[in-house]
Amino acid sequence: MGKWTARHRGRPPSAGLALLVGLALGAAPRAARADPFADGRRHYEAGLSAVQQGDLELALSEFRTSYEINPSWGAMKNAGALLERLGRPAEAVEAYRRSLDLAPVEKLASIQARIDALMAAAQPVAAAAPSGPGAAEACGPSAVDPAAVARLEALGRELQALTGAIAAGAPATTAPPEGGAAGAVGPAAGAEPSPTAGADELLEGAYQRLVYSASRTAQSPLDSPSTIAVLTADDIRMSGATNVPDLLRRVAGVDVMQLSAAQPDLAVRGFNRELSNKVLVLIDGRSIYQDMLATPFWGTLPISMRDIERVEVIRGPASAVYGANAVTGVVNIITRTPGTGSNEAFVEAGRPGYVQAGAAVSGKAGANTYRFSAGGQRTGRWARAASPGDQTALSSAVDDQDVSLDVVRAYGRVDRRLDGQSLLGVSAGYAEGFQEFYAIGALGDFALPFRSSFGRVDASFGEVHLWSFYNGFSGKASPWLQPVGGRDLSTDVQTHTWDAEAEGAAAVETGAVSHQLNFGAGYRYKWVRWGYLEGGGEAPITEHHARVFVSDQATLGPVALAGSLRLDRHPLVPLSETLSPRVAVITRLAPKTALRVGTGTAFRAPSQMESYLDLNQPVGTDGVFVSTRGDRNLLPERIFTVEGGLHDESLPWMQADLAGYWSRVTDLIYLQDIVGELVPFDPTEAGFSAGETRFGNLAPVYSAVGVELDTRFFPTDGLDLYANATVQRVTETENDVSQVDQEASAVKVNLGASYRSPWRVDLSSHLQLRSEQTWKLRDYDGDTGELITTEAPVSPPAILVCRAGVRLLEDESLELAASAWNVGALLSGEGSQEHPKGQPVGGWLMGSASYRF
Amino acid sequence: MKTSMITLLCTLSACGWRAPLDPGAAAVANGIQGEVVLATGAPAAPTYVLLYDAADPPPPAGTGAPLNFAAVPAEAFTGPAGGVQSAPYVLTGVPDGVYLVQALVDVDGDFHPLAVATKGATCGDLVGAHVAVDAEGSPSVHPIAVQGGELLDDVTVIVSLGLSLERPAFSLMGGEGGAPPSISRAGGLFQLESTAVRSPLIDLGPRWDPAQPELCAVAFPTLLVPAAAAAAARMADTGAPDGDSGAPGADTGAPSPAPTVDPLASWPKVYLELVAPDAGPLAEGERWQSQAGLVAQPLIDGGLLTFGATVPTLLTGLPYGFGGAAQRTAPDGTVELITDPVAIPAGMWAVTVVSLSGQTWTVPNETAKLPSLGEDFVAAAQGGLLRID
Repeated sequence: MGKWTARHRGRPPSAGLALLVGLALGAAPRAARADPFADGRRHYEAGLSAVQQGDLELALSEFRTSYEINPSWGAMKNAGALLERLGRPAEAVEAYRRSLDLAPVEKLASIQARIDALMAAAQPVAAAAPSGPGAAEACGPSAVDPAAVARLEALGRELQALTGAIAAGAPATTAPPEGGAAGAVGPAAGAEPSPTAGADELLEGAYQRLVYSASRTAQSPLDSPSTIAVLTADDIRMSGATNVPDLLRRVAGVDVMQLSAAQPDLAVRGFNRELSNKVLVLIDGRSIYQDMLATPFWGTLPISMRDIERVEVIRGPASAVYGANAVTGVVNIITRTPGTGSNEAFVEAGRPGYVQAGAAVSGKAGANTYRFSAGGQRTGRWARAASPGDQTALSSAVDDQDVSLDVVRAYGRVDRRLDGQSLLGVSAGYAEGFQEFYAIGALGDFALPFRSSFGRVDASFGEVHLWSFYNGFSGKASPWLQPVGGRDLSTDVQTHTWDAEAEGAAAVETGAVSHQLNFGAGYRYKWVRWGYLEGGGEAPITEHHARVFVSDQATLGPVALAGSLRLDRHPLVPLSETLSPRVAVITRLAPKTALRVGTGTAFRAPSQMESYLDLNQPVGTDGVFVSTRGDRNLLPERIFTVEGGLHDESLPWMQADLAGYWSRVTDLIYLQDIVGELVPFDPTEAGFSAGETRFGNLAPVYSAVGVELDTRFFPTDGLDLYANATVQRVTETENDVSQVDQEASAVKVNLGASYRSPWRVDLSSHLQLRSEQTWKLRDYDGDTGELITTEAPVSPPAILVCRAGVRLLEDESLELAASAWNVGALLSGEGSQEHPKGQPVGGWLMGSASYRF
Repeated sequence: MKTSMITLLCTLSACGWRAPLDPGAAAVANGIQGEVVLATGAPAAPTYVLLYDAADPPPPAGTGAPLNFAAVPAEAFTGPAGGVQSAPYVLTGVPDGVYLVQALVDVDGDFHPLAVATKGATCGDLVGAHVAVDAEGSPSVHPIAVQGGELLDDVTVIVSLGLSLERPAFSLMGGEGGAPPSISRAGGLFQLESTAVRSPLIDLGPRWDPAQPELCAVAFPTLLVPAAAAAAARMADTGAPDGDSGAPGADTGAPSPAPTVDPLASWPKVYLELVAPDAGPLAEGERWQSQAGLVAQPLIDGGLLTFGATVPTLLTGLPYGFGGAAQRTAPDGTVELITDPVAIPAGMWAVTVVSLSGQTWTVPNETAKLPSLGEDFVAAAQGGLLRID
């Protein structure tokens, strides 16, 4: 059964209509859940409340409902504990086992201990039971060992006594929490201890949204030292987004700028640029940042949106945790855990030229859990630059001028639990196809046929995690259109990255202060062969990187001090430039309200292109070129940020986060003026060099200040509303002269709603509004070779997204949906540019069908 | 069911998608390709195939500058040594229009398109063009038209002519006290003087010596003055009728009338271009140009040499007149003749001399900032500008 099935507890707006629709669909109305987590949490807390009132059956029902809405290990573990108390050990074991499937590694031992205890208690029963065929049928109360029955009956009496104590208002024990911040409702004071370990404690605080990316350890957003936003699988499903950046448009402080249908570029807190070079993008912690250009290629990922469990977005510098390139933020894409969820097959299709199909299987075999997925996606261009078929003066590396992205991909992951403390994981992925890509400067639109692969192994032994991954990429980049006979800019590129890391965690108590320590070290090897770099691609360029990091979150009562420090060894950057600290103070103003104040730094290492480029670029005259060169002595781009924030989850129907920040950014990297003397005719290049331009660190200092308000409301079952607003201002200062950088909108507002109706129809909508932008286009003065900047205003379109879906069949395993992205463009038939160089951003209109089995 | 229909329609619509043309896409560009043929039997050398707007032809027919050029290395030529050799060329990014295609073979290796002083053919270089032969067998430069993104093929460029004269290098004769020569926007005279050029950037040989008049063997910067103009000038100089020149009235014995030679049609031609207006930089794409005319004044200081219908004339104090009119090219490309002197921007103007062979020399140029390699070359004089107030 899919995770979206649950029993609807509220009255539908129109019972008659619901009945009619339900009959039409051949099933009774079902539950409506906009945000399964929020609704699941509501039932979880209702379960805890029922325990307090002594109604264990109701509590059990609530925990099970919570699990059905949003499977969580905590809900099922509580169900197991209640089943123990209710004297149903076999069901308890089953519940614990289901909990075990989802529990974090550090919880495995305690859960397994409960299972072992119950199994041990039942073992004499099994020993006394008949064996062989028909044994199951024979297994009944009459076959049970009387001693075991006596023990279980004693257990039942203890549970009843306990229940009575709880119902009488006896205080809960002060038993240590179930790890981290989780509280527990343990046996009532005065209750007789159970010789069989009796019922397990009920987890009170386990059902909370945990984030991993802020500190590389699971923690509540209330404890996060950084501003963090989480988008869940259900957010993804209801959004209709076809790629991660489209999904991230709704996040406060995030700017998405599309140059083409296949190239959305991400920016966080200003610095909207042609490359997503200041945001580190990870998949399960594995960097997909392409060091050659300093950007991810979104179309080359081996996973689809349906493989994603959630996306965590950190706003603010994070080099103290992740090292280079986590300048203004981190996007961590967390894939679905093997063994969870359903098998699924889906197809999506629409305009412009959009088709996607795929399938995923997920399951468990013994101690192994697995998930495999495969699929293909094809996305049409919103607009074509020209028609080479009609223009014989042009050639194109692409046969189909109407396709922007065309990819097939496969992904697999197998986890094996060695014991309660250890886990091995192996995953791999492959993608092949092509995507269009706008290169920087005057190079324009490129076609990039590619092969992308990765492999990864993980080994966790308690608090020690060893992992290693390989990223491989190869392709042949060619200008989408080239003049026949002109300077050929086609180039082969091949990269290999190998990374290994060991990290550990430790919880340490020093008096009243509890410490959560994380530490580790790693090594990364980079290999690149690219025709644009020094040596012309004849020989690879290799780099050896290393890092050490440590962090501690020390908690004393309601106050926590989080500190992180990381040092990266980069072959071209001095260590003094890569030392990245972060400090934050988090204060719980209330149990579910936290105030955080922090500061940190981050850096972006020069990309391989910026360090090693050696390319003669055309300049519009066939016999002239400009030599563009990298510089091995570049300083990294650096940011220093001070920020504060307030995170509140105190109301069950709302969450809110308010953040404010100030950042200082220096040493941005860009090509410099063209300089050089007259160089004799170069017969090899069949032309004259007009001079040389190198990458260099820009002189201006940038300061960015902003406020982000992010709210989310859950007013009733099935309805989820969100609204966020960003106000930001980036100022560029050089020689005491300041000007506003408006490449990112100064004001951005997102509004959204999703409603899962009880009659199986789901509706969602998202609206993004942004203020005017002014892009700075850098080009060269044809006479002097000086870098000149021209301003190009852009009115980013208001993007309205609508989606409607219906769940069919008895178990709701079939879903049909239709979605429209950028409705304004669809209605008008005309798109609007988000960048002066880019294509008009059009719309998508598509339908989808998915079947879970 | 409705949703199912939508899904089905969307699925069907995904097929056969044809993206509309981007309204902001670059203008359609064409290509021109063919062979450049060295018909002289000379060894191959770096060759530059130059593209000109047919409506703005290059010197000597006009003042047009190349819109694009393709460079062909010597190594690209194939063919028997001493015989006809050829190599392919391609000109890309050519907008719709009508064009002239010419070629320059840089025999002496001193051509460079990115410096004012070197972007011209020197004595000994070979030139050619894409030509058409008329019914009488006479070749002429042939314009070609391209449009719609086509790749025009087989545009052969024949190189068969060697330049026998040096570029018309000159310097502006200075104003008072070393100040730049200055004239009024309403009109005025300025003087040019032939010069040798001995610079690390380019060496145009010694100044012409009438006693050693070999062509190219001893390079000599000269101006070509049509015989009629030279004769008219000499007549003006001597005050005597020119009975040998065939000038009007020569056979009548009557006093010769004023010279009838159009000063603006005389060779060499002299053009002015505004480079530094007093009011600040020009807008992108804006140009101000004017043509100065030879003034029939006593001018010949070095004698005359006669080559058929023309004479190479050494400049010494040759006076040219600015007539108080200029042509303005607006940023949008429109051209307007400004005859109101007040409307002409005051400022510093560059001077370009075009000889009958189409060779040019412009002052100021880069040699002004380089050391002089000969006593007969004053490098600093190449930095002169003409001031028009």
